[in-house]
Amino acid sequence: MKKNRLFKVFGLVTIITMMAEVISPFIVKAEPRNFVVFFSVEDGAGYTLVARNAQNQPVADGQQGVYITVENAGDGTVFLEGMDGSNQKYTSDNVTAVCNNNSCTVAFSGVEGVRYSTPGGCPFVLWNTDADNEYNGTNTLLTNTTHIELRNPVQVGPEFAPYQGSAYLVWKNPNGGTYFHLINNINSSSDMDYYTASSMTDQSKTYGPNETVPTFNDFNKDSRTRGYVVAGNLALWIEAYKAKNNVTTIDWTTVDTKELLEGNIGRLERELISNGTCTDDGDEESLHRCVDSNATVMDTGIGLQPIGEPTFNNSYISYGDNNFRITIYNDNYKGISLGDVSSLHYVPYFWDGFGRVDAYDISNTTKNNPQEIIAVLLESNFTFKELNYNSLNIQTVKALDVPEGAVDVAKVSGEWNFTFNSHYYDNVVFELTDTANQKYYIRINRMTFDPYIHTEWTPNGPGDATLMGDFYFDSNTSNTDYEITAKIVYKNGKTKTVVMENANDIEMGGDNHIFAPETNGGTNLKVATYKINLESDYEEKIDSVYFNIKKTGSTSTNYAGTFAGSGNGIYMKIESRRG
Amino acid sequence: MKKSIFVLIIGLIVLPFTVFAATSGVKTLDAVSTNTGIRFNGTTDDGILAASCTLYDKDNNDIDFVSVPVSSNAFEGTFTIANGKYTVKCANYDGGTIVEKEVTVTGSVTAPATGDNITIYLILLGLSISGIVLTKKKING
Repeated sequence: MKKNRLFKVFGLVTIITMMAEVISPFIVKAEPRNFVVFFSVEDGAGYTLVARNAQNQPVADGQQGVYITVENAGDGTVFLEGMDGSNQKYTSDNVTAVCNNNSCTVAFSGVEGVRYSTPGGCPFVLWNTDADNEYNGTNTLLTNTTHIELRNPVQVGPEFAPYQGSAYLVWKNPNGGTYFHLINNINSSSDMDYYTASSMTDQSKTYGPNETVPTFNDFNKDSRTRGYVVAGNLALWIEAYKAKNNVTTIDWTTVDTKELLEGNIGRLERELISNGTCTDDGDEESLHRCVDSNATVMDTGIGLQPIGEPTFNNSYISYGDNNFRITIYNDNYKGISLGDVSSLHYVPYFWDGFGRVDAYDISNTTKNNPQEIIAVLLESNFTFKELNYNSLNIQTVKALDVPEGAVDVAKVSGEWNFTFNSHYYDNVVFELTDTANQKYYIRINRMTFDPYIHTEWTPNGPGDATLMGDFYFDSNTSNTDYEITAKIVYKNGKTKTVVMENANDIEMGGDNHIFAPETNGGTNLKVATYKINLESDYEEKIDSVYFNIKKTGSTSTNYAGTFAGSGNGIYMKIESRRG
Repeated sequence: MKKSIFVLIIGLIVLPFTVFAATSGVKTLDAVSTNTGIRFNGTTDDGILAASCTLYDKDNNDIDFVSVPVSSNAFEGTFTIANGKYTVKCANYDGGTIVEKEVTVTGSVTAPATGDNITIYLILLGLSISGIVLTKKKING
């Protein structure tokens, strides 16, 4: 896959959903970088915003009205179900406001999939003081005179700095309840921090009007017994607020924010809105910038990607290229850590930052269903250590189905070290046995070539298809030192072997193309892209392709060597469109 | 007598080097015909962990390639190929002297490797030529 594909399986998320019963007790770890923005309303869910008058001016009970403008995923402005769009006033069925002298609690619910956003990027909640709850045009925007109270102030350092502060574990139960637990004292470094359920503080005091405060035991008693999933029944987000311009100390209690869950699989996004003017800068990674009255840029948002499915058997982890890495796991979790990329000699560019998944759940693995771990072929050494959580203590490690001498295994200073003595052994399953004689299995997939199908899209649909592959090789060598062959296996059983052509076009992510035979591929690595043009009906004819990478310079009597490929070669099933 | 012993000693010294590859890597190679193509096996020097083998057709075209593990200084593998005369060439996976073995495949049920519809085209060509020849004969005859 393309880096973002292959390693990046490693790909993309920051929200995690999971069944409540599975995460009891939860443990959460987090590594933030940027921050998110936006969210949606889920059908039947009760969401609560706490609003108060910024000037602390008395507001008499029962004399406030509120309306909220919601935008349906860019399809135009719609209103929460039941709201009166023409008069822009709330109805008690969907929005309620209970006020005291200086604050109101506004609760509302909406239709699943409706994205709650704000015109101009700022909260657009009007605050009526008329007894009849009619908006009469004389009220000011909530953002100018009042604010939605932040649940918990969190501070972080400069951009991309390790996260320090607090976070919420937020989830929903099958009945639609939304619950919050606060994780205090997060202090992420390059490695992740871990937090147990017992260290969390129940902050669920702002439940919806008909919700019951749950406990962790309640989740244990959940009727569903399946282990994981059901994305959407649990959603998690981290409250993280970022100060731009190195403003590290802000009284966030005076900053407007709003947040909601976008339910079901997928996407949970948050929106932070500062007190003042907000603009959409068009960058998905930083959707809004808000400026306070002193013109200080106060916060940004990050697009937290969806997780949707359980990452591992007993845990969830956000994908590596998210701005905020987080993992939740339960009592059955058995984890290993690969450590930081700084210990590696070869680091593909897409592993920079948080791009590499460095912790894996090996629970419930079998020899035939091991936990796959991506490594770089050139990196002959592989290291891992047990995570201390849930008392994993590996006693022996054995490489399976390889001859003696193919892989050396040793435990040094508490870490397990593998040394691969040949590029041939590019997919090796290891059996790990703990002190209780429980066995776990991991498969180290040593990657160097990432094949995929590229299809040109035309106004009339899919156009020409090309079989392509990104090749990562030592930066001290040249692409001309290698030859990549593709053995095409047709569905009728016939085969054809062709030499791939250097594409002179390397996609470095997104629309960034380098038009050259090779370019920098990361630390001590170069990358080059190779291609073969395919016939339009290739999907009907071709079953699979095997790739082999040979060193150039062979003679009739001396073979220069194979750089990569075992058996018939690096395998790609055509219908999967990637290797 | 002395001369015979001398020749024998020389023979014992030279023989292994004339049969086996001289440098480290693949030492011996054998290949036989099977009902699906070719099965090959060989031996290596100590420390060799894998071997790469290439299959050439009678015109010395490189038509298939496979890498196989080496265990206890021995390796084996197969090529799925149609009937014909081929040469298998093997070497250390990491590079080294090439050892080769010719083999003629008979009785293979495997279809020709390349040419998506070449057989059909050849049959059609044959039929066309036959038709032309027969028609010409009929006209002339």
